[in-house]
Amino acid sequence: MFSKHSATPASAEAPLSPYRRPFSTVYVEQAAISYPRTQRILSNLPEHEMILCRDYREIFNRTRQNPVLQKNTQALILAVSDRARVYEGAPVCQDFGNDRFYYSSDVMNCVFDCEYCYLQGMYPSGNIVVFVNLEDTFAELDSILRGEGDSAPENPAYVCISYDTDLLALEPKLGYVADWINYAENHPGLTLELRTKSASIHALRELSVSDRVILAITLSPDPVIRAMEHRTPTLSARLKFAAEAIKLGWKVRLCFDPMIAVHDAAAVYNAMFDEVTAALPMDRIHDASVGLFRISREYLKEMRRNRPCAVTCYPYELSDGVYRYPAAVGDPLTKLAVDRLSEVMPRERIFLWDDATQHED
Amino acid sequence: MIYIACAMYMEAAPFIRRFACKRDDSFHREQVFVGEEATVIITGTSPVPAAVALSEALALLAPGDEDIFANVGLCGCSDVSVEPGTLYLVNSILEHATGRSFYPDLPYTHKHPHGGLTTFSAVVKDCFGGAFLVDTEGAALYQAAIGHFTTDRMYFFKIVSDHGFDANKISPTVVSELLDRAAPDVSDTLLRFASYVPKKSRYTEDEEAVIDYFCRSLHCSVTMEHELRRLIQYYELERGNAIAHLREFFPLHGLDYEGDVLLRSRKEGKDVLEAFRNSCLC
Ligand code: SF4
Repeated sequence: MFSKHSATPASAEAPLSPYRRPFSTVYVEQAAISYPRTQRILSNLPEHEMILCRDYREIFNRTRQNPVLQKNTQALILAVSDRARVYEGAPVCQDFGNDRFYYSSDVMNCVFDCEYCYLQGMYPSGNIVVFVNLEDTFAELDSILRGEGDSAPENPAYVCISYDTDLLALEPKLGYVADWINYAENHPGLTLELRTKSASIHALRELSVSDRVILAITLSPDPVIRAMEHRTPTLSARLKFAAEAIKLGWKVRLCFDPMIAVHDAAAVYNAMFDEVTAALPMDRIHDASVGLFRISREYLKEMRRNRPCAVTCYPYELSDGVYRYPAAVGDPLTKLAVDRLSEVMPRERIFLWDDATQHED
Repeated sequence: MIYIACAMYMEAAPFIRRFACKRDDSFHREQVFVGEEATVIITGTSPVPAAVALSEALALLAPGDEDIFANVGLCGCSDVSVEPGTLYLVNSILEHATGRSFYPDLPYTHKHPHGGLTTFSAVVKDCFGGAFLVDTEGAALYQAAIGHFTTDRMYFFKIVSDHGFDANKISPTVVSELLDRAAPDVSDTLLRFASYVPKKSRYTEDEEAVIDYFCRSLHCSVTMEHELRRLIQYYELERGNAIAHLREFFPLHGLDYEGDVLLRSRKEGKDVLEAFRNSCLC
């Protein structure tokens, strides 16, 4: 396979940023090359260097990578998953009242770079793996939807499709959200949650509006975005995006999760809620979720090693293997969020994360 | 520091000159030349001796987190249209004997073309087995260096010397010419890459002395010291000058930096650590 490693032409004068463009390197598993989806993705990456490999783990799981630095110049790895990528939500996961709650993980890692992201504790690499055999995920879901091995097959299923990534931010390259919507439209009883920090109205307009999808938009105060949600859109851009989504007819969930106990947090979050309630028709918000930052002990250990920063160095309290804010710090922040949201929407549409859950998109 | 590994002295010579390196006689088995910006290690040819030499040298040299590694050497090329002297930066390495592959990251922009390298156990002259670039050390040196460098700080520069069938034309003069021609470019690129490596922020000696006093005064265990240093880092990042905060905190808890006053026991130290934790919280 290495015979295909022909030389890549020398690039022109080096531009100012020291880093090579994200996705300028694409590793492709030999088994993935024949998949139409691989070809589609490659055609969306006009200038890239392709390196064939036997197994994506040779690259993604290498020892002694620098995931923080890799985030500046992410490589894409196209692979074929050898197992189903649909997982049952853990009992501790917030299921928004759904009995049959699943998540799918067809993409590992994210284009954004949040300092608190648990993926940094989970993956040894900052590069992104995309499994191109989405059909196998759909086949697995088919059997789940048929109720095979399920005690309550008549109940609708709820699948988070943007779990270990931000799928909408990758849509111009992957087109996976469109594939999922297409699938959902043909499968009654299926609701998808698409969680995002993206604010690309263009990407949204390219999709057909579906009432089978809940667009879960994560909102944070600008000081938090600037300090620790690197490469993500500003609060006002996310609010414009949310307003447009509502106008287009999407069901919009607002996610205030994770809330971070920054200096002067009450003032910072109050200012954010002022901005949110002024910008959005709150009576048309599907629901909202609120949660404080929390992280498993193993992940935080890894994150502290790779990226000592304010959010990882915070003196959290440990219980049941999960680090959380001390109640004296966290409770007032949760209360503030619930109080502010209760002013503009019914309390039963506000969901609280107070478990040892993990995903904070 | 840039650590440059070359199989032969002839390959290393232009770098020894460029970085004004001097032979370090404390190395008896390997030839190691040390300069201010670069250290050049002559590994010898073929995989096993090269890996052993590099491992031994790096174990003693103990590179740090801000140092980078480069292997620079000649290689064969299966594409006859590629001119001898063409310089490649390697983006994948296949170890022919085991079938294992290695991938340096190449995070920074540069002007060099990329190529895939296959490392054979011995010199191949007539059949490259479908490989593009071939050598006899690359994969072994990757495996010897990976214990000391992250994948973003390892670079493999290969200069095409032949296409197998014409390998007999490589004389010592040709080797020197090829290396002399490539060395300035390689050196400049390496200096640029080294300058991009993120630098760790460090406390000054005076600041470190204050932190050290705090640890001693509390009779910190290793775990306590880790927590204390993390709290100081947290305060610095979230609130501002942590050392100034410490200096204000000390007298409130019976501590005196100038007088080197220590607490009586670790138990008392734990209480003060708890108080310090609370003082850092938002
Ligand atoms: S927290 Fe979400 S948006 Fe941020 S890097 Fe992680 S997956 Fe991406």
